[in-house]
Amino acid sequence: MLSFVFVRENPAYRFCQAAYLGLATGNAIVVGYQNAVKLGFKPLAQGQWSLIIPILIGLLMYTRFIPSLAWLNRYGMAIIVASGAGLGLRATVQAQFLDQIKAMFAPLTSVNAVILAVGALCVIAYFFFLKNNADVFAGSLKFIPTFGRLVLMVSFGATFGTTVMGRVSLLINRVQFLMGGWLGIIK
Amino acid sequence: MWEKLMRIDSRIIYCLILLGIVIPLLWPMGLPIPVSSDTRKVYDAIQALPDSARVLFEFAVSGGSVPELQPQGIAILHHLAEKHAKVYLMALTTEAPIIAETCMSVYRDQGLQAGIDYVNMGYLSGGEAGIAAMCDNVVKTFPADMSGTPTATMPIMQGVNGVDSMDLVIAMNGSGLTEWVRQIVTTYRRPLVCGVTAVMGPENIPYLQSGQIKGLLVGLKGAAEYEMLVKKPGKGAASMDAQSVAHLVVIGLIVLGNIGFYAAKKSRSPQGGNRGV
Repeated sequence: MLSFVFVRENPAYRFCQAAYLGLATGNAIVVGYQNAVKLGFKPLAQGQWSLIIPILIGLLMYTRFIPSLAWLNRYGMAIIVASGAGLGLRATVQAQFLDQIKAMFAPLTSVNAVILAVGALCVIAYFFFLKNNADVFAGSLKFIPTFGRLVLMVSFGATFGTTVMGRVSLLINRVQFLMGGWLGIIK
Repeated sequence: MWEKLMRIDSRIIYCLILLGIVIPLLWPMGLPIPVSSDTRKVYDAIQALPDSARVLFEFAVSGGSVPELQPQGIAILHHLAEKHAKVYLMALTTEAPIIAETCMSVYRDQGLQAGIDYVNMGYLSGGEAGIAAMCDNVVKTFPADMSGTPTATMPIMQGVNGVDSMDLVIAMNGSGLTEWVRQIVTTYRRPLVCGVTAVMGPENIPYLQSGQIKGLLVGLKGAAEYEMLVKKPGKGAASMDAQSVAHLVVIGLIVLGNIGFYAAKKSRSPQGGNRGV
């Protein structure tokens, strides 16, 4: 796989990529099948007749492969999407809005708390797309959206840094495998 | 000349980073590993558990996140084994249960047994709907463990209803914590500590800062810090020298690129004139 870095696309890389994808897909199919049998068909055979409804909804998803029945797929998709959205929405406002907003207005007793509150407000101000935005943040207030942009740049830099850290970790693991597990150079 | 700094052949960059990793692995430097407050919060949350506490552990390791999450998971399992915690493993990815089973050697090596001290409940389909079903009734959602043994008859499952029977929930995955925060914390009000890949760290830090989660391990560094806390150095600690040197190489290359950019810009400006690049 690492040959792609130095030699670009080559048969060995393509073979390994296909093998990895095939293995992962095969495993997913087997686990999915086992799941369907364990949670659906086996309990149904043991008398839990109410499971026929979710099993039929699941089977509707496969109708997309039959052109004359493909319209039935929309019902299955709608039920799955709606149930997922409903389960998620019931706690979204609390978890992702109210709790986060509450945390932003923590007591300003530390430098971190001040930076958090001021930075968050300035970033929100940066995204004001008002018709007369230039008049709202003019003169001495111009620093507000400018500081907001600076905070955004710092946060993107932090995201970039952790992304680099993650990718380097993946490479370290592979090098450890090659040097340790394969060549036996390191323990 | 300056523009060459911005156009260094990518193969040279890859070789430099590879050298930055290989050399520290061959000759470890033993750089200190300071423990961050985020990692210490995870440690404190598990340390505060009573003996034989019940811990629901989402160990959703996939092929791409094994290098970062597996060392985190093993370090945490060492700590849970010290606390004699009952571990209920599950995952939202299909390949995770197999990987989790190999990591449970931490428990098996100490004589702890499947069905009594831990249970690998396997793959949970349905995403957030699956999590919600599990929170409502664990045994009904997992009628059998990964090997097919019925869970209702297992000693570890006696007295377990939903997630309210758990003393702590650990969510470890590379895809995000939003669903877990919504279901475990907001809906069921159970304590939650998490482990994520480095890429997901900045996105999930707000949950820690707001107090919604009690602690957060980020990436391989988080694993190394936790190994230091539980005094069981493993792959995380062994990788830190290489990680630090590789990061220095990347920083050096970024600085070189920026020097090249500004110097080339200056030499092209009317004041600088063309100095022949």
